[in-house]
Amino acid sequence: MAKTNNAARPPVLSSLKEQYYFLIGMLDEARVEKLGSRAAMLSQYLPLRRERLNRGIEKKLARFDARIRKELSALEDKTLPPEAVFKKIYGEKERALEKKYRLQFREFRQNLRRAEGIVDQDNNLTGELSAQAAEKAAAYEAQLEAEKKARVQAALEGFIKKRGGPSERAGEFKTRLERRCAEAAGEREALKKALEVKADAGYQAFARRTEDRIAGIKAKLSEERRRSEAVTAKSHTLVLPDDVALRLDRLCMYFGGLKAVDDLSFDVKKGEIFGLIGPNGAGKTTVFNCITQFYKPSSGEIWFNDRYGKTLRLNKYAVHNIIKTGIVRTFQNIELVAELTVLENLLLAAHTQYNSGFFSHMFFTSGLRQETAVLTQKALEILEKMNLIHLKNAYPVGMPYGILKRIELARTLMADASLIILDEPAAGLNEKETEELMELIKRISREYEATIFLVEHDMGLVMEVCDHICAVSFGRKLAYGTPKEIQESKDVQEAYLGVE
Amino acid sequence: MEKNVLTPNILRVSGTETNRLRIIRHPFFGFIIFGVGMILVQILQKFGVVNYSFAKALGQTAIYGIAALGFSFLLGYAGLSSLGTAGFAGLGAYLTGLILNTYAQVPYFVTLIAVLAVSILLGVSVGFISLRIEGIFLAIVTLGLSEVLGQVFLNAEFTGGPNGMRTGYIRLLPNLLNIRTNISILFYIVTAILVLLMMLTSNLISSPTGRAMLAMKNSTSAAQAMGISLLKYRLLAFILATAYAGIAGSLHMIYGQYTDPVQWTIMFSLNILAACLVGGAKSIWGILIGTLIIFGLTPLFFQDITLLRNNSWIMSVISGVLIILVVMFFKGGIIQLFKNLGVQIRIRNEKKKEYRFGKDE
Repeated sequence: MAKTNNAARPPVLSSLKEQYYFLIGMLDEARVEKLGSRAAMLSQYLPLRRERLNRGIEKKLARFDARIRKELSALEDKTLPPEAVFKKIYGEKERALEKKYRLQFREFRQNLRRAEGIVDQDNNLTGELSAQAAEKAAAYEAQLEAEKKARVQAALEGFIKKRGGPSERAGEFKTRLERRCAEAAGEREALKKALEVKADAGYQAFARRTEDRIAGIKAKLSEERRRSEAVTAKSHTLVLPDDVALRLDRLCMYFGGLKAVDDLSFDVKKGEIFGLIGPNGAGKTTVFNCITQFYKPSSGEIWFNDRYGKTLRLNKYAVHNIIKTGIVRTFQNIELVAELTVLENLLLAAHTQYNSGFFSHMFFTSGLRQETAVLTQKALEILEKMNLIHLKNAYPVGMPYGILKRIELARTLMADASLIILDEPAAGLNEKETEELMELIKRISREYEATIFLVEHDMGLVMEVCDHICAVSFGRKLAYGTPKEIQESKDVQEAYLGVE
Repeated sequence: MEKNVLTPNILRVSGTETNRLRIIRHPFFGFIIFGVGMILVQILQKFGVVNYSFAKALGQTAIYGIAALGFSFLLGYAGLSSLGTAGFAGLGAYLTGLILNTYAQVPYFVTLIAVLAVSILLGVSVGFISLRIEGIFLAIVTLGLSEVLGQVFLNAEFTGGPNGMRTGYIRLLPNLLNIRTNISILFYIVTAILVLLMMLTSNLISSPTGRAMLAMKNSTSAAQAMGISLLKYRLLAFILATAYAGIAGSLHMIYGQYTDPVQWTIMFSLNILAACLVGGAKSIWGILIGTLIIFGLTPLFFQDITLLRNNSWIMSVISGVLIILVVMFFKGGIIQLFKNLGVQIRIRNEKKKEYRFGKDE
């Protein structure tokens, strides 16, 4: 049965010529992609470079400040009476002393508490100290306070004895100090200016170089893109209408005799949220796996309009090239990399956006550093937006399901995709989390102008967020339409509830 | 007394504290300190503080460390299993010997490049095999390859058969270092190459390449969905492993000036695997610790103990027990044990403090 079905449908790309143009087109596309992303990377790096230079200036100024503060402070000591100098010098020691006495008091109090049996095994308090013990503690505190004061006093006396009375030349030192302060302020301004001028010159040169490179790349890029489009046009005849993002054309997927997807066709419009529903085992995830080429369809075509308006025949792509066309997916049972932090998991999705090759990774070249800076910045922005920033350095293990789902969603945003495929995003979430997720999905589709294609069992979510829905059962299409039409469809009701 | 004599813009702290510890926190700092320490051992040996056999064994252990470092790409990062390290390293050793014996005038670095090229070719072929099969089957295939190479080492004419192969002194560079290299210069070369490879490894594992390999190890489907080509990174992992093993084999040849087929049996592959497992396959320091335990303990420290010298099987028992313990209790290796220990000590101190002073404040 399956075989006859296959034979009945001749493949679209039958001629060798088309095959040839497809391969050439792929190579061209890769080159165009690489050039484009290099140009984008360079232009995004410029503001980061500026920031880095500014940070460098601040650091140098801070170092200058620290040095001058030390010098001025030494000068200031000579103008102040010994008590004030003592206070300045002794401040640190006094704080240490205070801490020591405080700990002594706390130990005393803890012993009292333990004697009264109001401390449990985990060192938590279970009651109040009795009045008598509280009095004892207060008395001890006062005693310690007096001890501390006496020690500070003794230290002060010793200091004055060693140093002598106030300096007679205080006035002279004061004028010197004031003069030095004014000088230092001037010096600081001059240094700042010099640093800024230097940084600016450096930045300008860098920016000019970078812009030249970007211009060069762009000139090459438009030419390459035109050529690439011409080649791709020869590799297949179909051009999708502009408002269609994805088209499934008579898609079939057989596993042996099992028809997981059988003759399924529908369009996903650009910018909409599209839902695929169906009872368990209806082949929804198989459809996703066919689109992302985890399974090669037995027959039928999958067409995709990429972000440049070019029609691609997805059947021809390898799994790992799908993300380059602008399609990114999540998985039913979350597939985050447990050995990478959340931030690194996001950077993983930007893997194809790195232009640097193996050797620049090995030698940690400036190109890689620039790209890393740009992409890390982008990842941090996305984490901030998704309210995950506090988890950036955590490993995605043992976190609540809702958060893991959110991380996976954040990862899809990292890929700059124009089509985001979500496989049961609400599975395992509670009602509140589901509601948050709905808002999130709507927000993503609005802010990132991405088409969203989701499979979901939670009918509330599907009916709430989707613009169009396709219902499938046993791999066959039951109904297609707006949520309202689907709700009223008799076929769908039968598939879900059984025939009366 | 007016206090504020200083102009406000100077007194005010501008916020960014200068970070003096930045150099120390750089991962290379530790590697360089390690290299300096190794060189120090050699210098001490010249002054007679450390005995000769200790310094020589340390260099030999460092060479094995290079092979283990390469193996970590397979085991720790790409999640591939291989028992072919002995074959890869042995090939490097015999190739070096062959080139040096045939063309005495060829400087060593040319030999090293030739060894690298052949190793990379071998890595590519094994990498292609790894696409078809996984897990224990891959280990068996690489073991088979290693055994084939081992039989060649044992039976071919040019290898010297069971008697082994010897080389003379080497030249480092043409005309420049035409001196007869002695063991201490070779020790410096080994140290330099080890430190360099540690740096390159550290760069690689923190780069997108390392991330891609880890992703591949954890979930192939996630890796593919994120645009990571399994072919590319599996090939890369095998190429790195064979290249490092080739370098290690080549250094082994010039360091000891002798090699025989007994050194490149499955025992060597298993020892490298054990070194990675025991130390912690994901950490450079862990691998070095593992190498020290598996390869270094006997020649470095236990040689002087008569009981252990006369009963060399005791060391094998110790390493076997260690592997069992590590695999059962510390999946991350001994380095993980240290990390956990640090955390435990911090927690215990916190608890102690709470007990003594109470929880409030």
